[in-house]
Amino acid sequence: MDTTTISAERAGRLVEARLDRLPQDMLEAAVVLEAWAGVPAGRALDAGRELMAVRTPEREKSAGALPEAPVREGFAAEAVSFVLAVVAIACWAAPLARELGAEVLRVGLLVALPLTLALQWGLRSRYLGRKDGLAHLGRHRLRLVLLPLLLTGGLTAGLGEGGTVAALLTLTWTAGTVLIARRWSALYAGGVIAATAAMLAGVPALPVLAVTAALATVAVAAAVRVPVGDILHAPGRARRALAAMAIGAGLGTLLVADPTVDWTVGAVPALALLPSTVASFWGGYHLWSFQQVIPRALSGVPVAGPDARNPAWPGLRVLFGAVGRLVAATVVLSGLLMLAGDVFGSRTSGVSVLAAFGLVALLTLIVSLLESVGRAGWALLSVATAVGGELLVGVAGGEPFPAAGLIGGAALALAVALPGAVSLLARPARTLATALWIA
Amino acid sequence: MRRVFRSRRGWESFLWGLRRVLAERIPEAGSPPALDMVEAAQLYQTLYWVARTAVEPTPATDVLHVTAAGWSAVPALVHKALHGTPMILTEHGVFVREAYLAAVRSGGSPGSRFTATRLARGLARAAYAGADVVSPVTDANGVWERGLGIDPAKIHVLYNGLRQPAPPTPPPGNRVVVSVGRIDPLKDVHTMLRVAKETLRHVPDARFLHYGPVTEGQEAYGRACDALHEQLGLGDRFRFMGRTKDPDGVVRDADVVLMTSISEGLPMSILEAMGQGRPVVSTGVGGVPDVVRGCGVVVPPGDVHGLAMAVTTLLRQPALADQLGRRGHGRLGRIFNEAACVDGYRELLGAAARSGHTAVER
Repeated sequence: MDTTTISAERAGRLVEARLDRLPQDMLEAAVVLEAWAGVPAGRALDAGRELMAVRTPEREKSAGALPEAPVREGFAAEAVSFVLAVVAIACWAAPLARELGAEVLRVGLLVALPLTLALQWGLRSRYLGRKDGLAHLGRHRLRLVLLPLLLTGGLTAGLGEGGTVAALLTLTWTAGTVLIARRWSALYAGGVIAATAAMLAGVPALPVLAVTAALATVAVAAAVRVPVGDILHAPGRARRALAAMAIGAGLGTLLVADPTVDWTVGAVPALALLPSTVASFWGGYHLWSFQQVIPRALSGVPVAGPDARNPAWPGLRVLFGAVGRLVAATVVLSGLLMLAGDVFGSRTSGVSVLAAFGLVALLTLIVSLLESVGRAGWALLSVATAVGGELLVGVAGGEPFPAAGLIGGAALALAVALPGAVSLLARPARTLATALWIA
Repeated sequence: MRRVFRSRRGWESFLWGLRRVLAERIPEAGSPPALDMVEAAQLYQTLYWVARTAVEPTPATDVLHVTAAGWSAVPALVHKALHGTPMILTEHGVFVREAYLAAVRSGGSPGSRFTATRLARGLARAAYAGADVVSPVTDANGVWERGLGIDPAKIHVLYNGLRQPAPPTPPPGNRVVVSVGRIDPLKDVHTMLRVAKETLRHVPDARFLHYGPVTEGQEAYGRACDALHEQLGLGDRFRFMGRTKDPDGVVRDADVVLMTSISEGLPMSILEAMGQGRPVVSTGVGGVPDVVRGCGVVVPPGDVHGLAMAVTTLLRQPALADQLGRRGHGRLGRIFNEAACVDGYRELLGAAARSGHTAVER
């Protein structure tokens, strides 16, 4: 082929034959001519320029490729295991209070709940919610063994027996988060149920708790032993993880700061968490589909021109659908729990406590959404508002009914958090550009 | 930076700028496609990573050496803007050309092709504008660089070089054709397999050995090569040998060295073949025609028949093959030798460092 005298017409035919379309610009034409037709670079550039002068392609419509929706395998099993674990742990309160005294357990829970939620949120933000997160966590195996010892020693030294209980509960619950992330939820639930059975059979509760916490810690050390050779993704940022920890600690404080909700009187208060916990699984599962719904809604919507628009509704529909599911499930399951409570002769903590836990679950859902898309500041403000509101209700005239502070704080916080979530999902393009898909 | 990126103002400024680019009508640039919001969001995120690269701190230095007119130039450009440090750009290939080839092969949407190539062009132009000297490894790349708007006075070609090799040994005469290179679409291994098929029709006892791993991220292409190998029924007559630690040794055992790339700068595998006194059959891409002149056969890329005929001819005429190989060996020693290459770099970097100090003293 005489490549030194290529005409624009011949160049056009060669390029079209290779691409099965017109070239997008002169450089593409030149690259194709050089790479697949052997035209020398200088001549290819000239031919590309000449070609585009005589044949400008029409503007093409375009739609970005969407990543495949991640398959959430084992979600139902995880949820069932988690619920079993909650029920089992709820049964620990009575034996622990009997053995150690209600005050010791109260101190333990007062510290353990905020601390556990802080650790769980922090771990999820930095490791567990990230691809390759377990592998990154596995690099700190020595710390995973030493920190529990330090935590137990420190809390025991500072708070006595209550501190020991706090440390052991924190270790057990936090380990559960790691084991569930590793898909070892059945193992965790099995361990917790076995511990419950031992406590109910009359085995001293504190040693059982200590063994459970130790075994859970060992299980975590084993769970994070994953191959580290192919780590492709970085862990979450430390600053973001710290903010997540603060949010978790705030939510934990919210749960324990209302003096009318007594966590030490048997299994009842913890069991009252069940309806909202199950409901938040369902609501959360639905809400997390926004990561697929938003890109799908934006696919094919042109950036410029008369067809450009801002499809806000699909994202909002997901949000309202999630809230609706959570509220409906909480109401139905709370009703069932109250009925069961009457049937079995024990009284649940009443409608107000169940409603309070429902509101906290809703707040947690919205705050999780805000945190996950990088609006940790807004999430923190909401949680701070909740705790502040709860304390204000307590200070300003006592509590007219059980969990009034919890309800007041959570409702106030929802008023702060919900507009943030709505505004995020109502402007899907900016949310996609600034919050999703970014490692 | 993160705050600006997340702000409403940042996103809207980006959209405003993007809409202006999409409204451009420049014949050479074609008609920009009607990007959708997903592609716009992806581009915004890519620009965020460019900005993240730009804010990475760089150490104090006398000379900035950038090895591709792409992302790697970003921190150097920032460093130069802050401190006035001289910047040298040495390119083995041409970043823009390879970005276009990748976009063509990707089969992506018009929008993704457009954004990938526009970004590459923007990065390359910024790198070229910031570089005090642009040093390609071959004159052919210099043509591209001039075509992309570099002042010709900035271009200073520095050929790759090999250590002066020992006198060549006679070819083994086993009718072995060796190729060395990654298994990658840029190497056009499909064409290589078809060349083998056609050559074997004329020289049934020929054997083809390909050395080189599959490029990371191109595993699908590797599987496609295996499938084509099976479809063509090549069996043991064409073998993928994997990575080699002894490229000189494997080339020495060849009668002919084959290369079918569609994009190259100045390929080391060809220099290694010349160093061992083996004739080369190659596609005429990048700097290959300048190097192989008089010591092998150069054929247009993708020309299976032409490449197969060249290989067949050299396998059937070992005297001619030997003669071409020896000429290549001599040419390597004269032009593409390591001493000249190292001296060239020493001079270039030394001059840049001196000019930097002079600028600072002034």
